[in-house]
Amino acid sequence: MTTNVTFQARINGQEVTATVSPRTLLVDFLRDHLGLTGTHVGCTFEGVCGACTVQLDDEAVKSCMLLAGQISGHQVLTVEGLAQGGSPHPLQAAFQDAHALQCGYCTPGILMNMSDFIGRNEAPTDDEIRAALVGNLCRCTGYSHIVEAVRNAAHAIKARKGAAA
Amino acid sequence: MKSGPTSHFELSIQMETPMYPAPIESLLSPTTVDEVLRALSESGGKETLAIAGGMSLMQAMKSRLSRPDTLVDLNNVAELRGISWQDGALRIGAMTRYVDLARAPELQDGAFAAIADAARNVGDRQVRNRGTIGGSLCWNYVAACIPVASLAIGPTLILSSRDLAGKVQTRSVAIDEFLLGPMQTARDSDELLQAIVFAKPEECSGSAYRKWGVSAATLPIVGIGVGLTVDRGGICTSARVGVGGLVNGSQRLQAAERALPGLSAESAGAIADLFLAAAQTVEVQSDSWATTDYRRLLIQEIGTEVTLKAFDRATKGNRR
Repeated sequence: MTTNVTFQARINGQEVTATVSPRTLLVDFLRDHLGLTGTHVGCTFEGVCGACTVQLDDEAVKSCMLLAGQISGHQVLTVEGLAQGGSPHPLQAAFQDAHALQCGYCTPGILMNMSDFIGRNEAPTDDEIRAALVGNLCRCTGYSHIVEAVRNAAHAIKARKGAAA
Repeated sequence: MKSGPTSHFELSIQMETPMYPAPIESLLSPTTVDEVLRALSESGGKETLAIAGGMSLMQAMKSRLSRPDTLVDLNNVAELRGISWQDGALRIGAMTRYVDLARAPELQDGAFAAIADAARNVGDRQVRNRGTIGGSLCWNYVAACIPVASLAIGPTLILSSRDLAGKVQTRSVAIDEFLLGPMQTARDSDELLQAIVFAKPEECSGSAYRKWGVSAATLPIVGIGVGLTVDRGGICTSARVGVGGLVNGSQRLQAAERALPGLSAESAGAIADLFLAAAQTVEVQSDSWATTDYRRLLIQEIGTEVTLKAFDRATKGNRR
């Protein structure tokens, strides 16, 4: 006898109440129950591709490696919630400017990992960016434009903070 | 009445949501150790597993190697997290994550630094945001970093369970008695690993860990941890060496432990020689990643490097 899990969580700033089968993966809950299909699925069971990366309580995690019921009482941010007030996140703008995506399949996961990363390291070196990208596979770009975009976004955020101060 | 073939769209929404894990009957989210122990002891014949960070267990569940009936999520049990000094000993809660270990001030230098060395390079940052020290020790995968780094220091593991009368029992198990072999530990299925306790170190102690894999972030082909104590002259007085990635899983490299006392960081050549000799004393496999000879060379190279790092950290005790 399966006991469904009923939980409340804040997803992209909105309070959500849901009832799911316990085995429901967080990624499937986001995509199939909430229609938030920006979170992608790239690998099978291993959790190695990073395309499903979201932020759980402001930290990057792979949503295929969590059960939906585990977010009960927590906050999740997906790529749909990254832009604020109708304008792209500086990282999204930097990706566009640096042409840091080709097919775009890995992009949401990289945005959700790197937006967390540059929030904690405001002036990362290229080596640090590459080390932080280990959990995200990209089969198109060869990564160099992604590294450039992340570096530019970190600069832009720092400059904006400096201007505001 | 609607007729004709069902559209692909209709079919897809009628289908059960694709889910990889086998059905799970219930997911419990306790917030106290007492509730966890109750859930583990009252399994009623159902396979009940505690899930820590889940970075290995979720893989096993999705590939259906593991099919638990009940999952007990440990992520909301605050008392299982955190690092604290207790009478000179360092207590690390079993649910303390790699990301927290990697940046813990208590683990950046000295006797316990091997733990942060290991945690800093486990998987990727998404994995380090979830994976835990206790989860790694209880899973005891053949090519894991935390068990090897722990063997180099020699902590005690605190395990709790609840007996039939509901009384909580706690026992302490030395790491050497806890790690029984690949994916096997001394933990009973109704027991919870609560904390890992590192005894107050002797003065002038240092430890270090490093792994080598086919790429920087992969599981280790070989991982080595060394913990040692030096005298005022910088001479090693005692040593513990852990090695992982071998067919028999994480283990002590006792031949190296016996040969290190009496040496100092000045004798890098002798250290390299003793690691090569010690590599002959353990079973070393050959596979598509590395031949037996190459693994033995890795044991020598990494063993030497890690030992010199441990010497450096231990002798800082002299300079303080």
